[in-house]
Amino acid sequence: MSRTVRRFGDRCRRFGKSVFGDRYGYVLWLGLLVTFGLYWRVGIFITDTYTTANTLVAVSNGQLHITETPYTLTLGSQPGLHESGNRLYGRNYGQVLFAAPLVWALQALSVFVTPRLLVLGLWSGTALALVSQLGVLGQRHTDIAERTILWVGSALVGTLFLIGVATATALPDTPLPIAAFQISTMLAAATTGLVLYRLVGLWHDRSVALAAGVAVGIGSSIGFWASLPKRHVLVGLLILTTVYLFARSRVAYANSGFRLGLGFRAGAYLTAGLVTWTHAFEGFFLVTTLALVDLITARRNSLLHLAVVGLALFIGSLPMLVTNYLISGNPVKTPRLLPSVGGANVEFTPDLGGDGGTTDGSGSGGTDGSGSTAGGEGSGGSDSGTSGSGGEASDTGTPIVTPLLGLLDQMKGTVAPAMEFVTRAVSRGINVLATPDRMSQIFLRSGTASGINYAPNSYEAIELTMLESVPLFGAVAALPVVLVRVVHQRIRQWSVLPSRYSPRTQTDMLVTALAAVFTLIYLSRLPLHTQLTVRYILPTVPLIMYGVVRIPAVHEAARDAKRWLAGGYVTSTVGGLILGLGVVAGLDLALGEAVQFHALVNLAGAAICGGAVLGRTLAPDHVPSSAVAVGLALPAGLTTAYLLLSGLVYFQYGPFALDFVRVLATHLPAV
Amino acid sequence: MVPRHPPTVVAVVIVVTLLVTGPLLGVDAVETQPTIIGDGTASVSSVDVASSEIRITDGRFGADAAYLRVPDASVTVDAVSGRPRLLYQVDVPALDVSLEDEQVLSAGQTGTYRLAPGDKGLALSLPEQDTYHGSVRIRVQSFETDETIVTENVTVQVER
Repeated sequence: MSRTVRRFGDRCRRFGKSVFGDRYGYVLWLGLLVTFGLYWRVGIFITDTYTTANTLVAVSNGQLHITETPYTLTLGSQPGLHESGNRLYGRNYGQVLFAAPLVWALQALSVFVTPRLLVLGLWSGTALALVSQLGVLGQRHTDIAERTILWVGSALVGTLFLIGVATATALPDTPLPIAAFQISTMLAAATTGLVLYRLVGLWHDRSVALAAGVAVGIGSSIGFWASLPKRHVLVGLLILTTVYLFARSRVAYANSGFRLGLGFRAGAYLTAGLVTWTHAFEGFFLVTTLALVDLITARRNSLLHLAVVGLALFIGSLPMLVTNYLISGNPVKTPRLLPSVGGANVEFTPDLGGDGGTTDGSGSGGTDGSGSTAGGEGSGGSDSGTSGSGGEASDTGTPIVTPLLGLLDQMKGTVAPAMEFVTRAVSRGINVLATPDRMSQIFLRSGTASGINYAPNSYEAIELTMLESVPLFGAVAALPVVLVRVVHQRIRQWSVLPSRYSPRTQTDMLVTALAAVFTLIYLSRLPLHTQLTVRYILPTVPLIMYGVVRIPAVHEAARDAKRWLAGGYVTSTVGGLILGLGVVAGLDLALGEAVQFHALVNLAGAAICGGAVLGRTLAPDHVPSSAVAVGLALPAGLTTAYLLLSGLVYFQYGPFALDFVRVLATHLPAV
Repeated sequence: MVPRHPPTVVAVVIVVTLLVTGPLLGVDAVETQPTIIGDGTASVSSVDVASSEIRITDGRFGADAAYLRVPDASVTVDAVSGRPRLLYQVDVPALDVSLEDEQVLSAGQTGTYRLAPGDKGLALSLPEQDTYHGSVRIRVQSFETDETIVTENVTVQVER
């Protein structure tokens, strides 16, 4: 008996090690989850989520089509609702199916525990796990420190729990599915931090990797979307995981571990394939980019290896193909390609009904967050899909071949316009590159941007640019210098083939390509309302963060000046919170003004960060690494302060998940 | 058999609390906050609202919107029966805009309440006229009663 228990324990530990790497990874992951919980509000922030949340309810009840809508907006006016065979469907089924087991788990637990206290209990449990792990982290086995952390931490969590119970309020109706949906996104966000930790840990010290994980989790816009169940965080996680598996495969190939390398390589394709389940077109761009870089850089491209990789890609795409088949009868026709219901058009998809539907950016009025203009409502289009399946039914002659041919025919009808759409997305994106005003409104300074329709949000200028929402990316200022040096070095070793580059360089190539592609394809529809942190290009944030860490000045500072980095970060976060609250209260700011105030402060932080990193890169002797560490800590802390204030003060769309936070928040000034 | 690991101790306390307050054992810990009005009324002893401060100004820090800004009101309540609400409304009909804030009271909740409708973005640029007519009302409402405590016509300045 005890041997079985021990073996089970061993197996758990091995599983934990393969997922988290080490205790630090586990602590990082738990810490991010606990932090996200603090500013989590149970409810729906962006109207698109009504559809996906109702889809989740349907899926957790065992069906793909939507029949009941506990979350309304009235049925029929929800953005992103699609119709097939007189049934209504949602979209992002991969994301939804990922959350469905969580719904079941919460529903099962709610037999014993009321929903409000269930949420509190889950948070407290996570926090306790964090405390017990923190206690034994590193060299603290020497009693006193360990005991102190355990006792103080446990007492703190226990107290917060009791306050939560004493001040508990009821949650709104049907809280569990939406809460599960939000938890699934928080898990994805925390795991993004973990995967970046492990990826950076392949090349750099643990302290650098930890800093990267924290930075992407709560020092970037990933943290903003952590409890907002849109697809972007999940897609970002899958892309980053693809990169990680790719990196592991290159390392294994370089060490002549061909079988292991092939395993990781197949894993990368499988993960990339899974993206199609949530958003087929993002999946397409991911797979294409991955394949391109992978084939160029792989040490072995034998037929066997390629066959395995192809199979992995197929398996990764299979859930998407099956879901599509069940919904529309056509495996390659994703829900987003189906006629949309209620006028709100879908985002980032080809228009099969008629041409000219999805044009550039600036939205169509209405409060949908989806983007493209309402032009091609076109559900009356001549879809080959539905008519094809009608034809099948009448032809019963050859039971297998005819339906298969019909299926192929349908697929062709879908693929051609999809390909045209793909090339258009790229070429229009390139056009935007040549318009500095627009590029500035996407990446630099928002203010009140001319291209955005502010009416749906009461004219509040809440749409931040990339740099305003992740000021740490000011460090990108040093990237050109670094690139020039790298290219210079490459030219001197021009005879080395890409397949002989170091695994690190090969991974850098993939990250660069992915960041470029996932920015380019969305450029033509930006800037846009309801983006908040340019969420369409959120999946590039972990990639760019990786790029920032790869700048020598940055990872050397994170390695050599840990205390400056950590101390600066805490100071900057606290300072940012005090500054934000003080200005909101003192100047009686409106929402848009508060957000724009943060934007300006963040830009200042970005400038300092960029200056420090660039200075260190150009003149290492004149800029000490402690200064670079402070320059990095400043914008990261300011971002954390913005994340916390955005959840606690600025954006109010539902009750706080934790009642002790609600009690605290009533004492904060309001916008 | 007392576990000496503090997190475990707290975890046990948490689990027991959750189960005891849960649907099966049913010790009710979750209160429903009064958010919906019912019957009843409240008597208001004093109201403090600086209605002359209602104004329309430009946004700051690069938020180029015209904002209608309404100061907070404080309302002192002597007595409450049932579940009425205090309502503070500001209307500017010519701009088709109204702002309000409410506070639902429960029996016995006397004291001073601050009502803060805050501000609202009207358009990207300031409206044409220099002043607009507006109205301020503070009311006590329930399903039984609708009593207007303060009603005032105000001139809303557009500050350029």
